[in-house]
Amino acid sequence: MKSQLYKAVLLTALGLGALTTVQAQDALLGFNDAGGTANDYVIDIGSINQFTTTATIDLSSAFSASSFTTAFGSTPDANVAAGLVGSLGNTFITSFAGGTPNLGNLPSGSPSASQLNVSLSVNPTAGVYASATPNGWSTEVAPSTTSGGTAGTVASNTGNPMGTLTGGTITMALYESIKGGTVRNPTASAWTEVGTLNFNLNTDSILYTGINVTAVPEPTTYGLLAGFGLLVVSLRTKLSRKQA
Amino acid sequence: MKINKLTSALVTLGIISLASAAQAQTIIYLTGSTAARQQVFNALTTGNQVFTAGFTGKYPAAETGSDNTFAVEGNVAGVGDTIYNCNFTGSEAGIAAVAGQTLSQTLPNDLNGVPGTTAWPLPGAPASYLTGATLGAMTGATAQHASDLAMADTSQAVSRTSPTAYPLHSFGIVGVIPFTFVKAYDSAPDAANGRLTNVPVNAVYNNLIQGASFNANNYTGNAADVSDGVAIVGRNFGSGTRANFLLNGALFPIRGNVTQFAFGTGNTLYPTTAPGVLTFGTTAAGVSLGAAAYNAGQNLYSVANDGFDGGSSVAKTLEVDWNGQGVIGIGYLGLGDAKNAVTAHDIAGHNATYLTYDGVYESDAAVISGSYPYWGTENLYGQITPSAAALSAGAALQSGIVANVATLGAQAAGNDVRNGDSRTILPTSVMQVTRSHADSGFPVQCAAGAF
Repeated sequence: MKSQLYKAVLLTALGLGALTTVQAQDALLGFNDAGGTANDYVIDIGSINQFTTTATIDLSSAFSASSFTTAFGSTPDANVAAGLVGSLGNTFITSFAGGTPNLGNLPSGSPSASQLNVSLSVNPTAGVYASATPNGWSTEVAPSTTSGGTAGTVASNTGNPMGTLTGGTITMALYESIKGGTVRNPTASAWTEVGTLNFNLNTDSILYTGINVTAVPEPTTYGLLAGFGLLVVSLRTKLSRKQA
Repeated sequence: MKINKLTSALVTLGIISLASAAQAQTIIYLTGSTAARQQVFNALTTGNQVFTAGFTGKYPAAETGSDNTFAVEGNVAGVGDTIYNCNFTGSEAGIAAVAGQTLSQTLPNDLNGVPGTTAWPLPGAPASYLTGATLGAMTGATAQHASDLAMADTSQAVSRTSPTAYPLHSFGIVGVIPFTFVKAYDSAPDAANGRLTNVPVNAVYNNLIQGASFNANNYTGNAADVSDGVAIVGRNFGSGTRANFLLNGALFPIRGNVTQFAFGTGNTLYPTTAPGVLTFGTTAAGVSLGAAAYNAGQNLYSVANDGFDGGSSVAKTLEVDWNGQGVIGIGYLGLGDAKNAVTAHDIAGHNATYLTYDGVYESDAAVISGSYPYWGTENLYGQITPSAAALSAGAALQSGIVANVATLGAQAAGNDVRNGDSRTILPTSVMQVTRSHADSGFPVQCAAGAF
């Protein structure tokens, strides 16, 4: 880790530019407005690793009030909705919005492995863009709180994560499901609540509060998972404790 | 001596360039696509395609264009005596390099750091170039340096280094680069394996999502083929080959998370000696397993969205004996690496097999006519504001590669990739279809010369 920091400093000193880290599978907070501006605003709020805490985390710095205004105007209408999806390896996290939920099979039971695979593959573009944009939030996650969109969306597989803002605020419960099993016969764990995310447009704040210490994916293979399940559970517990 | 030390220090700090320090040659630093290195070398060393009077020297002296690091010297119009100092590290890394950025990634299964948090630079990023102000002063030693030019298998439009934030100078397209699918070796293939000879686009799309639980019947069309799954072996996000595979082979979102596979477990996949780098066939300490890495019974591992940083490791994985896995391996490769995979290039003597894509084998004729749409375009980029020397050197290189590719032309109809006769790059002038310089979309007919 030290060498990485040293390398970043050295590169900057050499004028070779800053390290640009590609977080291919971060947590994304997305907004859309199906009944109004038909724009999306998607924020990358970082790795889902940060949700392995029972503390409250302030993620407000990721939010841009000006970008929100660009997407939805200075006086957003009542259709503006928000949701969260994120993944890391075999772990998928999604929101259950308290405002106006339309969540299909969430949060009861568990998704099928096939459904979970689809949601794990989704990685919409961050930024402000028209809702019809390919590879965007509305086309890959959910076009609205009441529509699942195409067969390949998160909403059509593991449930619609979107809820409508009420008075500029929304509180979302976050749930995770983890892919396990074997290479040929993967499984999906039952939904587990890991915390809540509160967004407040009046104060431009995003706060996460953990209620359950979840685990980051372990360096396992499916085969090892099948053979050494107990060992994996033990390692996860250790790592979670270390990071908490 | 003190002045030399000061100069050396200033060069190291990038305050003055090696070119001005040497007062002799202008050094142009070229990085990017490894797939393009042979064409770059060929153009630099053929007649007056890049240089006004042919090349005057190269390092290493025996270089043939097969290495990622070399240098070639000659006179460039408008610049004078010029050394193209080359270090090819991949298309995405190259685009980032000329933008002054260095790509790194986090890994979900990271034994050497914190999964999803520890950032590892992509292999070969930033580029490390031969040191020495003249060819004669080069010893093989390398050092990181800012890059002037980069070859890329796609345009910047689909790059992680956004053209909005980093509007690089485009020198244009130099040719068309085809790719192919290859099936992994199996010492005792079952019936389903024997029937898997074709890659339908909808099958490979869903396979990227569902991983090895995706059954072979989706490829073969035979309802009985549900005992075998199919696993995709491929590249990491820094690869132009991967970008073209997603965009034109699988019609998959370029940012989408895919499920790919490799053989190994724990630190044999990410050795402590190469943290953050998916590695083929080593121990946890990074020691090569040799022929043993190709034996049946290896541990098949889902590396999720990661992949190999080079096509050679994909080819090697496809040369492993997949017998007994209950899974058929397929991979996407440039033609050079594919040829290695199917011609028993590995030390175990195993050979993979070419596959058709939507019923068509890759061939020059099929690419040219549009019946085989799995191809991309090779681009040349410079910094956002190139130096005057880089502008001239880039223009000379672009026109030189175009001229070199044009002299190769295309194979006559009737040959295909199985004969080993397909070109690894085709001149745009022979194309009868175009994507209008976009990186995706179905090719449409165009008039001769209107690519």
